Amino acid sequence: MKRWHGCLLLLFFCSPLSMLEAQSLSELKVTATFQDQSLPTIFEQLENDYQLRFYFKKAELPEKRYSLSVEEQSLSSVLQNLLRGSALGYLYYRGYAVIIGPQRILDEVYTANYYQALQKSIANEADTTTKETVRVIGQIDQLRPSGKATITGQVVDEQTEEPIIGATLFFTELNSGTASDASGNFELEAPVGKQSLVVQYVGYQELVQTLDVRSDGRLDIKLQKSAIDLEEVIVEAQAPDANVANVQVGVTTLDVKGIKKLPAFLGEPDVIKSLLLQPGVSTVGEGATGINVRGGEVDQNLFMLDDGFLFNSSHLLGFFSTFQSDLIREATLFKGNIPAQYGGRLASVLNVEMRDGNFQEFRTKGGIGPVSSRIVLEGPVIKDKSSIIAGFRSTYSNWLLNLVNVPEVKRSSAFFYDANFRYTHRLNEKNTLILSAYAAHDDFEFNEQFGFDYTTLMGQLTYKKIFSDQLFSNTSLTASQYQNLQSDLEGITASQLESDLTYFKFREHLTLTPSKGLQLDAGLSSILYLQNPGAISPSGTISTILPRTLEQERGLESAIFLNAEWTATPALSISGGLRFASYQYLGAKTVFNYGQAYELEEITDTTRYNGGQVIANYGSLEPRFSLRYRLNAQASVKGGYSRTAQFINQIFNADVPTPTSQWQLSTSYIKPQRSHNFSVGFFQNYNNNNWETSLETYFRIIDQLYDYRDFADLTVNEHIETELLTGKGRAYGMELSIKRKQGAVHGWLSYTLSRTERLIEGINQGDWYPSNFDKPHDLSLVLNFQPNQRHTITVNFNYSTGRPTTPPVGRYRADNGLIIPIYSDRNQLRIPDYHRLDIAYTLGQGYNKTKKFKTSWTLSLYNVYGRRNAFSVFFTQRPFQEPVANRLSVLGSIFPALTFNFETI
Amino acid sequence: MMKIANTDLFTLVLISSLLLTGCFDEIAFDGSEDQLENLVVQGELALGSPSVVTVSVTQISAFEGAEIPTPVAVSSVVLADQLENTIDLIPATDPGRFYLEIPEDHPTFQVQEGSAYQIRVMLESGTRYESDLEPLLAVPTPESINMAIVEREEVNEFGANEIFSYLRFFVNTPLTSSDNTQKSFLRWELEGCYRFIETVVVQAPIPSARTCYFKEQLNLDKVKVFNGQASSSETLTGYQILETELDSRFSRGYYLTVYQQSLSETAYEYWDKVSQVVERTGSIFEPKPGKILGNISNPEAPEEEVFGYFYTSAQDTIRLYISPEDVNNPSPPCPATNEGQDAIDDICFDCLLRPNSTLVKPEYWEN
Repeated sequence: MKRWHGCLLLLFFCSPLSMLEAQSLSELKVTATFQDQSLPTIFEQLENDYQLRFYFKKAELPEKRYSLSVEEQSLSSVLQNLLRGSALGYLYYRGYAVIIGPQRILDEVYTANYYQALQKSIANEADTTTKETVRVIGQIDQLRPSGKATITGQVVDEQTEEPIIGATLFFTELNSGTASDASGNFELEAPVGKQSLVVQYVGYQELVQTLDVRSDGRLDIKLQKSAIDLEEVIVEAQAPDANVANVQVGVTTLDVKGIKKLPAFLGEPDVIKSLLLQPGVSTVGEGATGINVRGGEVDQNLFMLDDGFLFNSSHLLGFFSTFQSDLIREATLFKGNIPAQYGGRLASVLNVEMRDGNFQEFRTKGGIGPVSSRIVLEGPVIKDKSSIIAGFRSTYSNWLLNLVNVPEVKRSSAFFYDANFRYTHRLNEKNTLILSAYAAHDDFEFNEQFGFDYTTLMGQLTYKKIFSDQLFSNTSLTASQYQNLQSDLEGITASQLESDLTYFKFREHLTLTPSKGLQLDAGLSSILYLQNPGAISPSGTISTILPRTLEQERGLESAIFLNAEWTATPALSISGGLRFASYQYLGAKTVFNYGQAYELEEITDTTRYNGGQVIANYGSLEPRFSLRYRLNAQASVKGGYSRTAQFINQIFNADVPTPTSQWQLSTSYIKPQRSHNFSVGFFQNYNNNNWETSLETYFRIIDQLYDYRDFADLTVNEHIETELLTGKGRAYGMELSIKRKQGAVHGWLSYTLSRTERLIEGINQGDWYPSNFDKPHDLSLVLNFQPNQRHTITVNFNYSTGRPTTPPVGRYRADNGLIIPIYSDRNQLRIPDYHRLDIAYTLGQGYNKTKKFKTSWTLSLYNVYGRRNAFSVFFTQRPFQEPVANRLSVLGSIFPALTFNFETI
Repeated sequence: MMKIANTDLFTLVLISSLLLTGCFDEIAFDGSEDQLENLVVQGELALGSPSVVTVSVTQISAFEGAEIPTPVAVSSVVLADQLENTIDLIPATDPGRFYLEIPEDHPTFQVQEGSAYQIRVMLESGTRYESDLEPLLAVPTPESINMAIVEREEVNEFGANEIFSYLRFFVNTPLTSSDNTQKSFLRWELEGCYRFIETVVVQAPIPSARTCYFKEQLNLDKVKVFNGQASSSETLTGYQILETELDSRFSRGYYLTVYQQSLSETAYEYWDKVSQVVERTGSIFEPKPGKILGNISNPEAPEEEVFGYFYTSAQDTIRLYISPEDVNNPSPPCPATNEGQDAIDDICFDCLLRPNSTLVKPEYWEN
């Protein structure tokens, strides 16, 4: 009999299966007598008497001898008695097997659904692929003295060649195995000789491969999808216990597939808006561009698209984001402790990675909504060698504007598009070249009076190289330009205001895995900014606008980083890193010289700097540290600290920036903003990780934070520093999250209790005052009801405290009767609280797996009860009348939308 | 939902255009209950024959509630020039108000272009306030006023689209005065005057109808200023200073009087800020409001926030007559006679019932 003595690895991954069959074994009554017997002997007797199979590692069993007499006692009771006082536990498996092993390992579980699907997969003999051919690994003359070989490779989907994360690989006779990492890569150690390797992953056919191991070598594995459809199980791109196990605190990985089922405004799935449902992420108001993360300004978030980053991430002035969800492989938001690999923004990093095109066959995917449609085309250029993927999305919202019963609106137009292209070429087994391009454009005109026109262009060239099994690199070059134009189309103010920002970025990122449990990331990056801050020119014949052009500005931001992630013990993981950023503000440029203060009256002279000459130089040493201590299999505590600096900010004196709000490099007078970020969190999962709970607290201190003087003039202002007041900020809060990941009813509740405040000399007598986006209470509830794979109902409810506003507190009357209001100190009152309910119903794909054309419909009802949430409150007073408070509601009623999604396979 | 009639609310409508149902409406809002006790000192020195200086000292009124400024006991107000010549102002009947007319041939105090002036206020409590020196600058003579009729399709109070007619007025003026090489900072104040003929009562023994004249302050919720130094042109052409609905006021003729004033740069900045806070639309891209502190201060407590402004101005006047024919003969508010009329408003028989009405024809009204 082949005994799986100590085949704990298999059992480790399969342990919850036992629960599915647990009932029969747990109800088994045992009558037996043992006299001074060892555990292996007792187990053998039980096997014989009750047709059981015990699996254990002899070395792990205590050498103690037992005397025990039981009659009609449950098997569980017997085992508990036998194992009491040891660190061992037991699991029932498939109704006939009992696994004995360390309780800690047995508690390492995947979700029930995972194992349910895996159970089906394993049970289905037809789904098992046995490779009779023997794969030879390495050459015998290269065998190491130890006699062992290290096998490395990657597990991918046979059709899409997408990496498979978390696939299990084990040698059935060796007691050893592993799981593939986030890139599908794995590493196994085995003695020379013939070994049987089993590879499993939910939804895929089990692969049994015989290996002839001769020395170190590579083994790439392609798994075929099984009859069990992945759609039946939500398979996430991370381990089921990731929230407990990950070392980083304050990380959110988006469920990209789930975004489409969320209620969406006008039916357009939106990556960035879906972030608003996460704790610690908020927005100033409906339709506002950008997000506020843990008390950070909207310009303090880095929106990365692969290795490039975007200065504008929204369409239609903020209503939609520029990311197409169909093209995204993974989107991760670092809102707490940003790893050393990233930098340049204070508050957060949203890392959006595009996926490769299919290397095997052509496919299409898309959706048709009421105001926009999108399509993705992908396929091989050279089969298995190179692929392309291209996505395009555009709006046709003008028909909607024509329905509006406001003549000015009828005379308006709004248009946007975005396009992505990615070409991936595998030069050979170890080298891959990726060429990608991105374009986004908006064109808006209102009533022939004014318009906005803004465009982002970006191109990237990425070279991925695998030097060895332990070392690989990612080298990228990025060039991007953001252009914007604001047009005033009539009267004496007719003019065009334009600015642009170009950057060139080089980045090298090396990843080294010198040993199991240790990963080192190191690299460098350099970004050259070329910015035309603004130029205004008159248009039309009667315009009185004086043409003005600000001189081009240049900045060079460079950084080196090193980060180590080390699993010190199974319970303790540490990630520590250091990033050093260096920034130079460069000529050619004429700089004003000031006396005591940065005020117009204090300008004493100017200094001319030549091209390339350093005008200002800043350095920033940024330690990044995070720690995870696992209390048990389903609970951990985490903490972290990071120092961040930001050398480019957006200038705007409104509640939200416009697309034409100027980006401003750090100068001699506008110092880089810097922040200290602290986070601590407790994470606890329940019910086989199907329930996730977390409680995180954070505290952020920001130096060199600036706000604006009252009535600041920010348009084409050559001494913009005179309009800024510098101080500091602080943000602190507590985030509570409860999530049920799977089941007919799943979803999450997130609640954030926070404050974000500023202390700036010259504002509010130098006292702390709330930031514009300070919302102490912010709650999101998302419920998915999915009775089967075809129907999904999603309900989403949001509540948040009204944000601060500056109200008038007094008035006086001028001689001509004009009433002049006197405003309070900044942000002293709050607008009414915000709440909104959305519902979506998705009619999904059916059960017919053979259909090549899959479709689904999503009906969204946004703002179901038509709440008129105030974006702002402002006060007016007509002559000889009482003053009144007015509420601007961006959305004043329910917004239904129907979206049709399709996909070919 | 309110009627959207003001194109200056462009951003609001922009948002509405994108979102179909975006709107603004009145709400109850619990404002601050803090009552400010700061002082408001306002003053103006208008060059003329005679020149007139007026000063008022009040406390701030609560933003909400009845507007009754708390009087402030003032012991004296003095006008001074940059040479430290001074002249006392006379208390007016209203508490806290002072004024003085200064003839051109005043023996000790001259008001003239090129000089600078300030006011000094002494409260009975002994606290002293003073303004900065304000230069008195010459004003360019406006050349003309143009008028245009515009029609706009708007949503009326019943939610239906309707064509509304408006009159727009534009000023044309050089930006430099004859004795000044620098371009001016300009401000305009507007006054309208229209007349109104009573309904003839045909049954009356003496069938006659009186004519009343009404003066109205225009743009009471707006400030019209222009920074000539930020202009690329030597003249200002077609600068819109007023848009008003075309209605019965224009049925019997209408005079628009435009007072063009010169301002100092700091006075311009003050009034420009005032224009920003009185014309707020609440749009999401609107700059944040703030406190407007003027050029008045307490020398012994510079940190004290004093509101209001003392400014000097030279002023020139231009007037435009709009005949009924110019504006397509709008209907008068009252019928010519009561014959065949069922219900006629009382003011049609007694035009003096209307506020600010007079039977005295303004001196500039021809015909």
